[in-house]
Amino acid sequence: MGRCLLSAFFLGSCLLAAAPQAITPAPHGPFHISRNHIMDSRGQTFLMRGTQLTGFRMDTAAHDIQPGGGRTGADFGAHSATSLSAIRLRFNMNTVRVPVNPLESGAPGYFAQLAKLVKLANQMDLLVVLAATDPADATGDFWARCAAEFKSYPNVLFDAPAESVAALRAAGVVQPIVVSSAAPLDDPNLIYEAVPRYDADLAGQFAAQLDRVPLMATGFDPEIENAAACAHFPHDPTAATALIQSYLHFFDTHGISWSASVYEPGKLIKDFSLQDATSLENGWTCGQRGLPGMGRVIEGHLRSAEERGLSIVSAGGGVDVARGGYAMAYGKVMADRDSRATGARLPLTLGRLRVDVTDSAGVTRPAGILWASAGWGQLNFVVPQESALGPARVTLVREDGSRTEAGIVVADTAPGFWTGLSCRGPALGSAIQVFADGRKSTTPLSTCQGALCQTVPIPVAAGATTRIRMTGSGFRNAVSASKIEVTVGGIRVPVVEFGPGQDQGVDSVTIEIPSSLRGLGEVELFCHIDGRVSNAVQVRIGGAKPTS
Amino acid sequence: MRARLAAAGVLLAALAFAQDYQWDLPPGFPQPRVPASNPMSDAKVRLGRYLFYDKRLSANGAQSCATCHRQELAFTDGRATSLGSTGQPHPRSAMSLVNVAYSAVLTWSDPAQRSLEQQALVPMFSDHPVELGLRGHEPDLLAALRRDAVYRELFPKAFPGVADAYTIDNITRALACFERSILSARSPYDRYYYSGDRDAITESAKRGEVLFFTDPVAGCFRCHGGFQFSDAVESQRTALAAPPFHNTGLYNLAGALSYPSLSPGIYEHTRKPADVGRFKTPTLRNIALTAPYMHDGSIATLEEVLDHYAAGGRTLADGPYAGRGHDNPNKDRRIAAIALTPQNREDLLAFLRSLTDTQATRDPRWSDPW
Repeated sequence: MGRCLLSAFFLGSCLLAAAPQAITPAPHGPFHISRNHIMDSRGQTFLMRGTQLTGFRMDTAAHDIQPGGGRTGADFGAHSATSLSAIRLRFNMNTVRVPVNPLESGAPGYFAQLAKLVKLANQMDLLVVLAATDPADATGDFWARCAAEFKSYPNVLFDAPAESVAALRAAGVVQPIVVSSAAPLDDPNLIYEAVPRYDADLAGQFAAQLDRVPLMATGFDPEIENAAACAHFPHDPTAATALIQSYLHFFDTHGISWSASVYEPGKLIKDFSLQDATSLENGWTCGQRGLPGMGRVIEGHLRSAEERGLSIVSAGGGVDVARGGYAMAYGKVMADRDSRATGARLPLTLGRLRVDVTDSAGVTRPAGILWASAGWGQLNFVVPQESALGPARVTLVREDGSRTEAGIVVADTAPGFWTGLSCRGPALGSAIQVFADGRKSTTPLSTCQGALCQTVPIPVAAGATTRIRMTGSGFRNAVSASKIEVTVGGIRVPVVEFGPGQDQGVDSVTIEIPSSLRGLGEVELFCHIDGRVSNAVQVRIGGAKPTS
Repeated sequence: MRARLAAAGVLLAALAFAQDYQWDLPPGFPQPRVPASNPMSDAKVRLGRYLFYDKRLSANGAQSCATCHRQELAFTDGRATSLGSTGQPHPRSAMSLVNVAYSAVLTWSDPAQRSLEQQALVPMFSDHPVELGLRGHEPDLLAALRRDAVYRELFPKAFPGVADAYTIDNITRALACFERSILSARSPYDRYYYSGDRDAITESAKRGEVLFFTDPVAGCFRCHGGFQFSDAVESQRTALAAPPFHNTGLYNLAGALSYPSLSPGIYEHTRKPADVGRFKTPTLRNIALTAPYMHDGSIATLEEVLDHYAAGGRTLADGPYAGRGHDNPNKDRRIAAIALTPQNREDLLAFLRSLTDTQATRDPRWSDPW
C-alpha cells in the first residue's frame, strides 16, 4: 500500500474552494482564431494554461527525453515524460512553451530530437508552443525549418516576433501564431503575447488589446533572484500570493491564455525529483536565488484551491478520482496518529478519523481508509464504488468533532500506475513470459532500494509470449480493454486484461509486449482512458533488437 | 454493620455529588479521566478553589498554591525556578495547571506522579526541596481550617456524611477537583480549528500551523500534538501505560551525567543512564504566557526556544554547563537541526501565540475567592 505516496509538500497549502476543479481541457487542434477567441477543431473555445519548459538543447535531449538517460533514477529530466505528466496531472495544465535555440537548430538531428519531445508532450495532452530562446537569433530561415518540421502538428503553435510571421505563413503554417506585437498586425490568425509586470496596473497593461484580440500572458514570474525585477513584488507572502491570484483571476475573467514561470527548480518547482511546487510562504530576500516561487499559487489556482487546506488527487495525481479507486488527500489530515490499515477489509475509521464522500446525488457514504497521517500529511482512501459521477464532497471527520472538507470530481476512470515512489519512476508489477511448451517465467518490473528504484529488463524472446501485469488504480470501470490505450515507448500495445485486484481500490492491467518491441530498452509507459491520461512510468524492454 | 452502612452512605453521597458536576467541555475535548475515589463535584471544586488560594497552606503563611501557579500567567509563576516557603529554590520551573485534568503524568520528571491527589502532597509536605513547608504543621493547618467560617460551610458540603471532613486527604481531593476544573480552550486557534472561524488567527499563524504540523519541516506536533499540544495526555478514551519523556538536547555535560545533577530528568527516579535528560512534554497552550521555558526555565523567550530546536539542541559555550546539547547521547531522535527561514520563525511564533486563551487567565471561576 501507499505505493503512490506523495511527497511531503505536494499541494501542501491548498484548501478547496466551493467547486472542485475540472480537468483543464486538453488541446484538440488544429486551432483558429475567432475575434478574440482561440477555437479548437471541435469549435470550442480553448484557453492555454501552461508553463515554459527549460530551453531545448541537444546536449541535454538524451537524458531529458530518454527514460533514465544519464539520470540516477531519482530525478527526471526537464523534458521527460515524468515532468510532462506532472505538468498535465498535478498542475492541471494543458500547454507547454518550449524555447528552441536557433543557433543550435542547424545541428544534425536537432529537429528530430525536438520532434520526440513535441510528440511526447502532445501524447500527454499538452499543446506545445515553440518559441526561440532568443528572438534576435531567430531568422526567417530558422522559422521556415521549424515550420517544415511542425506545421502539420495539430497541437503545435509557434511563438514568433512580428517580423517572422510572414516567413511562417510562407512556409505553410496555417495555425494561429503567438506574436509579440503591441500593434495589431494584418493577419487574422494571431494570438498576441503580453508580459505582465508587477509594477503597473494590470488592467491598464492589457487595456489596448483586451476583448479585441486573443491574448497570451507569458512570464509573470516574480523573479525573486532579480533584485530589479522583484523590487515591486510584495514581500509579505500573503500579499504576494494575493497579487498573483488577482492576475490569474483577471486572466480567467477576460479569457486570456497564459504560460506561467518556468518548469524548473527555483521557478515553478523545487527540483526534478519530487517536482514539488515552489512556495512563497517561507519568505525570501529579493535578489537572492532560492527555493521561493509561485508554483503553489499556480497549482492551487488550477485545482480551484486556496491556501492551506486539503487537496485530493487520483492515483495518477490528476484532479478527477475514480469511483472504486484510490484517492490521495494531502493537507490538514490530523489523524490521532500515523495509522495504516491492516486486514482484508479497509476500516471506515482510522486514526480516529473517518472519510465521508457525498456524491452529486447527495448521498453520503463512508470511504475505506488505507493510511491516515497525524498532523499535516497524507490520507489515502478508496472512493466508494457506488458514488454517482460528478462533483462530490469529501469530509474528514475527526473524533474531536473537527472537520476538513474538499471537493472532488468523481469519474468512472482515472488511471494511475503504481511505482515505488510518488507516482513516478519504474512501474510496479511483473512480466510473465509464456513459452510454446507451456513453461512460464515471471520477472518483477522493477526493484527498489529505499527511494531509488530501477527497472528490470522484461524478457522478450522469439517463440514466447510476454505480458506485463501492472498494478494501479482507476481502471476497473473502463468500458472494455480496447478503451484503455496503453503506449510503450510511444507504441500502442494491446491490453489483454484489466480489473479489480485483490486489495480494495487496487486494479491490475495486463498488456502484451509484441516481439517487435524487443530490445527497446527503458521506455515510458502511460495510457489514456476516456480522454484522461495516466501518470508516466518506466519499463525496460529486454532482449536483443530484432535484426529486421 | 453501622460502619458499613455509613461507608455506603458516604459512597452514595459522593456519587450523588458526582452526578451534579457538569463538565463544560469545549469542542474537541474528551471527557477527562477522574479517579473513582474522588469524583468531581461542584462543592469540591469550590472548596478546592478556596484552598488553592489560601496562604494558610504554607509554613510561612505567605504562600499558597497560587503563588507558583498564577492565573494571569496560565497558572505558572513567571520565574525560572520557583521559591519555597523557606526561600529554598526549586530545581524546576512551575508547570502550567491549565487542562491538567488531561495530564497522564504530573511534574516534569517523576513517572510515578499519576494523580493530582497524590501530587498535591508533594508541594505541601516535601523536604527536598521545601515548597509550602507543611510537614509537621498538619494539626495546626487543620485546626486553622476548622476555625474558618468559610470552610465550616464548604468542607461538609464537599464531603457530606463523614464524621470529620477536615483531613489532609480531603484537602488534596478538593485541590485536585479544582485543578481538574481549569479548562482552557478559548484561544484564537481553538476558534479557528474547532469552530471554523477562518478569521480567528492571522495568515502568519496559519502558515505557522502548517509548519508546526508538517514533517519533516518542523514536526513539532510529534511531541506537542493533539488537543492539548502534548503527548503526555490521558482522557476517558485514551490511557497511557507509560507516559513518554524526552531529552531535547538542552545540555551535554562531560561525564556520566549529561544534565545538571539538580535536575537530571526521570533518571532521578529510574537511575537508568538512558533516562538522563528526559522530561515530560509540557502543553503549548498559553505558551506565550509561561516564560521562561524548559524544565529549568533556562530559556527566556519563545524565540530562543525556536533557536534551540532549530539547532537540534542547545550549545552553551561557557559556564558550568558548557556543552553541545545537539550531541547529547540520550537526545530524542526527532530533535534534529531544521532550517527555518526568518519568515518560518515569525510564522511559528504567530502560531504559538495564537494558542493563548486570555479568557482562561481572567475567568472568575478560577480566580482568588478570598
